[in-house]
Amino acid sequence: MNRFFILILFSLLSVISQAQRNTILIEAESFANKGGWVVDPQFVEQMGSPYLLAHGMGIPVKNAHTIVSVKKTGLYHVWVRTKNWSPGKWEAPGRFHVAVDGKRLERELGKNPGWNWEYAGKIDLAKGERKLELQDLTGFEGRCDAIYLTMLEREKLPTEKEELKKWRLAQSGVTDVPQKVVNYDLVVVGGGIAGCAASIAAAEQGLKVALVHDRPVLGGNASGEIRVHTLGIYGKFERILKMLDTEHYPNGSADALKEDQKRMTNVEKYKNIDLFLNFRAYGATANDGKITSVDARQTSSGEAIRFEAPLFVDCTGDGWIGYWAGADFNYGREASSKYNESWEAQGLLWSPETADNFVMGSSVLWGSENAGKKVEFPEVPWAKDVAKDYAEKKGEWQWEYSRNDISQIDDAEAIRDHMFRAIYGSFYNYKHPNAQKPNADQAVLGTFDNEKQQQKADSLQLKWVSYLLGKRESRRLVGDYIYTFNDERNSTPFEDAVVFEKREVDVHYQINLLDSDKPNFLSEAMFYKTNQYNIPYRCFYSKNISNLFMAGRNFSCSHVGLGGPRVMRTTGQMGAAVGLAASVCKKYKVNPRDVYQSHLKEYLDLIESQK
Amino acid sequence: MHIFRLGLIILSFSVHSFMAAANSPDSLNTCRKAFMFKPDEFAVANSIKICSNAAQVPFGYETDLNRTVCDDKLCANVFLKLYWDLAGNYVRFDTIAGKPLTKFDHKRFADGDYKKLNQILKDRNSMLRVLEKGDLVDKNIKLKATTVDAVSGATPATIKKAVVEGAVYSSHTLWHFINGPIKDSIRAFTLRNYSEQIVIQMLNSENYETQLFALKQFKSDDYNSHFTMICQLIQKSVPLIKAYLISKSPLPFQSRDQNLKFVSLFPELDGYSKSVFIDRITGDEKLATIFLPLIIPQLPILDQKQSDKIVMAVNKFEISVYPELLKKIIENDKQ
Repeated sequence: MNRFFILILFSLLSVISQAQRNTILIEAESFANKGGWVVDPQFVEQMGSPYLLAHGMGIPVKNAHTIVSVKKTGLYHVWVRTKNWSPGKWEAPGRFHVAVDGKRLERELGKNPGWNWEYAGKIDLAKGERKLELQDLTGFEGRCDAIYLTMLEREKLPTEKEELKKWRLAQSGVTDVPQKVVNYDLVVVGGGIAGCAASIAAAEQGLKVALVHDRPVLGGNASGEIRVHTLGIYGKFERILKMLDTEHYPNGSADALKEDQKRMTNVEKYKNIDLFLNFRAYGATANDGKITSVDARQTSSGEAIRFEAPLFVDCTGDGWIGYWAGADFNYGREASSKYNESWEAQGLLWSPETADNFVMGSSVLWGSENAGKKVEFPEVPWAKDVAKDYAEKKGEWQWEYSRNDISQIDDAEAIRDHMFRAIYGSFYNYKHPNAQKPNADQAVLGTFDNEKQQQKADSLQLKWVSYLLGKRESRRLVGDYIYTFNDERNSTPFEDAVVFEKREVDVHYQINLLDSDKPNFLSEAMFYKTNQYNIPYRCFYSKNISNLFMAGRNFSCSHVGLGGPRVMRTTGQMGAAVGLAASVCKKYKVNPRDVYQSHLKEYLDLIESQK
Repeated sequence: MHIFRLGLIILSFSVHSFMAAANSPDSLNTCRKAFMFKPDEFAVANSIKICSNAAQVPFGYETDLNRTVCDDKLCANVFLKLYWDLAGNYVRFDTIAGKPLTKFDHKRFADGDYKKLNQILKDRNSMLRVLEKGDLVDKNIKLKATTVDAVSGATPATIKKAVVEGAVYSSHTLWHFINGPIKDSIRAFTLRNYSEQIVIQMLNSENYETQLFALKQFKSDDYNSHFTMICQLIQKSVPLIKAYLISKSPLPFQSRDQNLKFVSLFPELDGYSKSVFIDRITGDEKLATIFLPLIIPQLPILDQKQSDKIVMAVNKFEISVYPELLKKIIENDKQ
């Protein structure tokens, strides 16, 4: 009660302080009408906040607008936190303006490299409600994190991450600790296929489940926002997984949208699953190796909720819950000798002699369509460094980016932006065919008719480009067992096998490793054929956080061990297996490890009964 | 006795021109029996010959292949002369006089089919590796043969790129013969007959796998004794090999000149090799002390992450560098 009172008091004081200083901070993602701008919460941990993105694929998006309440009449200086996402000797690609009551401020924004405050201009504002607008100028991924109005002519705004975080909280009058606390039997963070399956399996056993997901739709990489089809077998969980999976349409297909509806309907019918869509987790509290709560914030309103439960499932993909709680994790490729994972046929591409960080990369899928008429596409000089002469009209799973010196977590925004440059540059090249530079297919076939190619290209327009990264690999939390390539190629039997798969072990490498003239945003897959392999339950709970399960690509495995079971029916099996294990935990009031040590037969019988 | 050399079939001649290789046997080359190879217990053993150039330096292997490729009566045996290099990597094929390759229904290969087959056989990462013969045809779609009273399945759309259409069994059989266990047998024979000449031959190969096979036999001293060649490889090979050499070279080299030469290669490296280079010389105090002062003049060509790592190492190991250079680094960092 005391804590609650202090929080309220702190909030009031902050708001009063802000009013006295005559400043107004508006988080862009909280705009009442977002127009054509979209909320991008992918990089909160790196740059500090969800932001609005003008994802127009080359066509300026509709204005976003909101109402701000001006408490005092006067001259205001307007600052905008934004970024030039492709700096160089060209006009910044993502430029935009801020307007107040229809009056555009003098300076174009989105022009400075790196996230920082840019000065938009000054404006006289009368006391009262004012309409604030974001006016996109390019359609090429302009981004706005926040807008700050101040009557001070010279004010040093914070730029360093922690300082900025404190400043924002103070400006908005909230604290980092959520005021709303909710309790569940099981909290599942991440609404990809694994998270959905975990929630359903647990809910069917009577658990009260919170499913926390940072997007408006479920499915993760399988969702209509990323559009990767599901692969793998159903194992013991066909009934549950058929509620969640997809048909085998081409990656990037709009058919994924229908599957979103199916998935949402199926999850929503469980009355004991509370769905927290558009809530992104931002912290976990752990004491003595046990998580007590996870905090999540609404990606537009900023509302924060604390989730308390005896058990948690990390289905975030990047292993965030485990990371915040202090769980052991691995990142990168192990030396081939560490687990004896070499494969002579593929050599260094399969596993390195010394450990490195060259994990499988992230994809951005995209496609174009025939508009039935000539369609122009703007010049994209800022994309040429990446796309070079490569020409393409669509992008499948091979559109993937990884480097050994960038992190799929810390550098995720740079990776996504690199893919934007690759996509827009390659599409521009496709729209401007050059007989001297045929695309890859044409080069192989030796066929190139410039005139015919131009006619086809003239009517092409971009249909869909994802702005969300489809990640393959990053943190892998460490369980009581680390699953490796040897378990796949030897079909190692396990007494606690709960997930089964038959697909090839499939590990990727960037094609420019074998030819530096090839684009650095394309990959190739290597397939190792196996018999059915089995994954033990011990891979799905943390070694050192006693009440943490994990399911999905952040399960306990080596880099090569991830190669087979990283597809989404398999990760769905992991989720379902974990959901059932949680029910055994609840029944006996025990931790995940105890299920293996003391209740394995009952647990395996429960899994068998799922058929 | 190659069909194209006799000029009997123009089509085959064009294929030969396409496949001409640097180490192609000519009248001065000699081949001798190396070993017998059976791909499976039911197959007829093939005699594998090792071939040497006029200077008696071995450069590769060859065999005459005569194989059945399918289970029905619709395709003829495949007759080909096949070539590998010293590391067992496929080089090319030649057709045999009077024995052109044929597709479904005994249609002869067109020029494009030969080109495509060669590409397929060169693709070490072909999806044929994981496909069984049964995966190659869609039994639900039957194609009717005109010359033989039989039917065969159609090629599933998903694997069309990995095979010569109408010759899926030939594509599959040849790929597995060429890229299968014979590779290990060739490598074993090469190692039994290993020599300095063979090492040089393999390091001079344009195939990165062949270079790597030779490099994997290296002992630490070999990097010094082959220093010039190592530098050439770092300059001209694929990024994977450049990075391998940078990470495996026994740094520092024996002389300052060698170390200077090694650092001078840096500007021409690709991004991957550069990052491996930076990691190597910033991860160890001794190497950082020797190499950082040498590489700092290259700073303008480093990206942000590389500059950051160098600045951290300079500070961590308290390496003395020219103050004005360090100032430039920090300015570079801020931009």
